[in-house]
Amino acid sequence: MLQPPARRRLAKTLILLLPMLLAAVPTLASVEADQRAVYRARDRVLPALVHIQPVLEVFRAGEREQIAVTGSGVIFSASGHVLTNDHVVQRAERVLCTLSDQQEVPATVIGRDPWTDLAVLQLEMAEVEGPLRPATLGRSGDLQPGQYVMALGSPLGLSRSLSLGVISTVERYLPDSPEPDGAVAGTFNTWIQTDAAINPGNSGGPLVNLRGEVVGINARAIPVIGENLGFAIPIDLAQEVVRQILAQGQVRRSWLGISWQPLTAALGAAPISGTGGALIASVAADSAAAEAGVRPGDIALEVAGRAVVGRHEEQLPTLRRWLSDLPAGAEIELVLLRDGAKRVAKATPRDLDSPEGTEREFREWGFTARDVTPERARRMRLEDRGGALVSGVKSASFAFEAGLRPGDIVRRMDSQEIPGLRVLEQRVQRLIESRVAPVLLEVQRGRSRAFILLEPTYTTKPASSGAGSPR
Amino acid sequence: MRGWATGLVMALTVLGANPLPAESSGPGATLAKLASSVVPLRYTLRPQEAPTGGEGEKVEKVVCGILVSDDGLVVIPGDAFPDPGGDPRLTLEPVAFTVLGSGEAEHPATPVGFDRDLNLGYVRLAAPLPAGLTPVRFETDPQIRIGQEVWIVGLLAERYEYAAAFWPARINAAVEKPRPMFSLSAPVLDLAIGGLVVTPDGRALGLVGEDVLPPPRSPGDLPQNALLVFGSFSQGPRVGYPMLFPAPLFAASMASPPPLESRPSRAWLGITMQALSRRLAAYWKIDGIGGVIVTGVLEGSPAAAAGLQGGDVVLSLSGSPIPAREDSDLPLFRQQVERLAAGEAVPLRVWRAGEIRELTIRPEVAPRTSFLAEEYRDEAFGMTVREITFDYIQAQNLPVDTAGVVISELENAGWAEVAGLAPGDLVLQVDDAPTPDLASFRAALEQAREARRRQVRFFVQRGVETQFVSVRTDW
Repeated sequence: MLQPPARRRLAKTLILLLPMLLAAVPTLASVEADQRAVYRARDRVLPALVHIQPVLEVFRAGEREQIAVTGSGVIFSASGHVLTNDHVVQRAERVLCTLSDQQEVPATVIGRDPWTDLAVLQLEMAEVEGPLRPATLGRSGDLQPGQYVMALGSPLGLSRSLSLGVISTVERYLPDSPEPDGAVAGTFNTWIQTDAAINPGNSGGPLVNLRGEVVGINARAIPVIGENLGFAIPIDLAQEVVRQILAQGQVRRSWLGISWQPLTAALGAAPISGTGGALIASVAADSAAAEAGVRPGDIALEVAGRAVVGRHEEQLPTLRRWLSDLPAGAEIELVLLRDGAKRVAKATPRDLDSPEGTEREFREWGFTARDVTPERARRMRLEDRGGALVSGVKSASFAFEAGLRPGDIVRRMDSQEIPGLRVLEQRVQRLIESRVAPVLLEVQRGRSRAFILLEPTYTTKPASSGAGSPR
Repeated sequence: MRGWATGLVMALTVLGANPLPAESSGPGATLAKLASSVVPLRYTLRPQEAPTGGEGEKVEKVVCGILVSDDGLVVIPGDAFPDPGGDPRLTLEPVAFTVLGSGEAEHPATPVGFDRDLNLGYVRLAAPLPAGLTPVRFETDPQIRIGQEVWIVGLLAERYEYAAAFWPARINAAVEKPRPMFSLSAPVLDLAIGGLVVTPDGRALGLVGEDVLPPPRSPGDLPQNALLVFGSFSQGPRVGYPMLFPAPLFAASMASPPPLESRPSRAWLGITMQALSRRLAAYWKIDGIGGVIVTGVLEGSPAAAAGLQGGDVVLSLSGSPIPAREDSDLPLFRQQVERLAAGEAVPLRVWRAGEIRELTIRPEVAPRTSFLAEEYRDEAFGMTVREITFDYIQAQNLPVDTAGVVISELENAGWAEVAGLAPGDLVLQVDDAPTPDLASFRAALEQAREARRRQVRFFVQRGVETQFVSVRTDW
């Protein structure tokens, strides 16, 4: 039993707390207020929502195919700019967009950034009826876990869908994994994780706060094994990409050739005091960093006069991003810590190449091939970038019968060097036109060469795919 | 499968036990006597080395053996004998050889040899020979003709107590490649592999051997009556096609069985290759019976020293032309190379871009592959590493002078695995000390152990990039 004074104190406290307690109990009024907030936010962004139906070119099993897919996007300017994911439009030059009022408007891809998986489209304004109501791009820097957000888009093609959830975490680090087609995502950004439902087709659509501002671009989900695990690209990064695309049609980045690990992996070699520095895990051969004498195990303290912060892995995308913003061709200084002593290295960053490269189908012979990009050459440890990489071989084709395999690099054809995909394309076209058979392909297979005798028969007239086709 | 069943002569004897119930004179009796040379032989297959977490599987198998000498030599199919160089934890090895006699009688035998080329194994019964067994005498010059009538002498299944059985057949083809052999018109059952082939009047012509085929690219490529046997999981099943091996073919190997534990120091040239197909030969206008296209030359190898180049076509080795037309002919060329003496100058005739050149090569003893590589296991860290070998360097496209140790195995939830090390990682340094070989790696871990370091930093190459992995210890 409480003594009278204590009892009085408790009563007093309860009275003081009462308004707060009442506020904590969700009243009908507050639920309705929340509901109105959701409606308001929806109304601000829904008119800017775009349903995108691109026809993508895919290369599968040695053949080029066209497939129709659906994705999402958001209009962010009155002049008809649409922000979406790069993987939605990929190599398409023009796509068909359906606006929220069901108008179908064609759009042109004006810039892409495969590194961040973002692309900007321009609607054909002549085809747009009435004024556009663009969404406001907000800020992602001040988002908080637990904050309400909505995802809008066309999950599985179901257009104008809205799902509601909260931000699960604001800085999810997903390891940089090169995707099978060479595209990379996540090198330069961490991700906003949300439990708002995100499904295929949501890609490119906006993640919106309750003020109706776009705070992220929905890009990924972990299907099957995961539930309610959606990932959006922070809008702060997207804004920077948009700015560069609008200004120069592309995003320029530079490359030093360094792979980073958080300082925590450096153990005793790291300075314990302070938070500065990041561990250099790997230095690419023939890169600016290699030429500057940078070595794995070095700890970078400063680059171009700016302190390096990479104590935890979540900090690495930001580090990579600002390093990639250093202008290519201009010498910079790196302050390194090696064996406890500081040293300075001078390096000149180079342009960062696109992770992609073109791909072509050689229909008559039954295979597809792509460029040997610098990134691919590096991953395959090739000594040079000559040749064309076989990406697929169609079964029962001439190429298949002759023994050509995906992964082979066509180096020579009938004893002539093949420096790249373009030359291969021209030569093949010429051979097909003049119906030459057999043709000897010399391919690089790992560290060996293989000699492949292709024996096409030309019973039908040559395909009229080339400009110089006879008849 | 039906035709021969009617002609099947049933169990004339239950091994060496009962007097013959059939005719006691005439040609039938001559044949029946041969049954006393055909014996069921049982062995147990078990891993050469116990794999982690148990003894590994044991399999018992019975094959048909032929007693060929008074001192108890028995020839058996060599399927059970593993190829040298397999991973010892994945390679099954035959042990506990036993000749099954009549009733419950068991006669132990010891393995004495294995002829890898002919896929024949040799075991020896302890003296004196069990009663009822008589060695067979093969014809020294059997004079085998196509169309000739023969009997295959083998064994029936276990439920018929491995009774000797006779199947009629005819010689239906003679082949020269890869060795002189004859094809038999009757399908050959499992327990007739290793059996005798005799004339109707009881002369032993040879035995039912297996022409071991190169591993098929897909199961569909197998001949219909090919036999799938397994010696080593890591090297894939050995696949054989039953053939009559005439006695002279294996006379020498029978006289002195090739020793078992021979991990022969084989010679090598250091090239990767492709067969010169008829079509490629026509494209390059190369006459002859075939050849070997050099598709790669390993740095520092005898081939590199001899000046061989990718794209060269080797037409003859030591003066003998190379009859290679398809990639399935390449094993023959490899055998030809393996038999060369290391260090001896061997002439090579080579086609290069339309011209014939004569080169001289000095083969060397083949370097170890990763299967034969030395390993070191550290129980505390829960990891096994092996020395780096040329095939790993080749496969990973690494510089030839790459030095390090390769993680071959990690214990589940051991220190190393928990830290994120992965099999296949190339360990370059441990706590900043380079680990170019097993000794230095071992020393580095030893040092960490003595100092009871709480974290040990590994510097590894994984794929194209290097990275640091710190392993937390719990001494």
